[in-house]
Amino acid sequence: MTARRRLVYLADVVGRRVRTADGRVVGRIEEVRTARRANGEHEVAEYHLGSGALLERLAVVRSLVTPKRMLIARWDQIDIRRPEAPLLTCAVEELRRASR
Amino acid sequence: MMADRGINLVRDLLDAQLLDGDERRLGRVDDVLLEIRDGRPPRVAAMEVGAATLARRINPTLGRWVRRAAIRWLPVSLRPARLPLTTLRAVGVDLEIDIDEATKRRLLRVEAWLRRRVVRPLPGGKENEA
Repeated sequence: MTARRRLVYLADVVGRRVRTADGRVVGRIEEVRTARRANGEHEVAEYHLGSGALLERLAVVRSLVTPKRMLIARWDQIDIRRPEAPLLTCAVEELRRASR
Repeated sequence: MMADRGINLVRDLLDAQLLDGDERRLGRVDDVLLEIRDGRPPRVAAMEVGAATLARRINPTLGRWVRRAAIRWLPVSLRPARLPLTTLRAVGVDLEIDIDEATKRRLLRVEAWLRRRVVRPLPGGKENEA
């Protein structure tokens, strides 16, 4: 069986609310971070969620604002196969927290 | 110099100005394509540049309308150009890319058409050409 391949636009993913399987909103995807592989290709490493991620995306200097929470999800913790409705595939507690 | 640690797609790529080695402006990154793969991280397949892509980002219906209108009325194709990330040479305020002349011509085909059909026929148009 051949592996399924599908193309998704970044703009369709960014700004979307990520929900848990039971419908709870975790936050919006504000940034997508990639990792560069040895062959020069970039793969999605993590998704940044929440207001802290928005500040990171807008490159707001940390000292100008109060620290904001940012949730960091690994690539396999969010399913973006339906970009209009990204789905969290793990418990919210498993997401990494960072402050910005 | 490009960071080996990866890039932030929204902050660093989306809407960033593309420049060639001679610092000639080639357009902006209108969207980024992610390839979803079963059991593996999504791969950044390409940066997409084109008016139809930008219109689609504003509104999908507008994107379809622009594509249809371009096919029907414009003598030059508005088909978006896709550039792999391996063409990136430097990531900063602008993105420096390394592409061949044929791809450059594709990116600048609307500008070339406007120069040929609109600017040149104007009085003094030939003198004003860069």
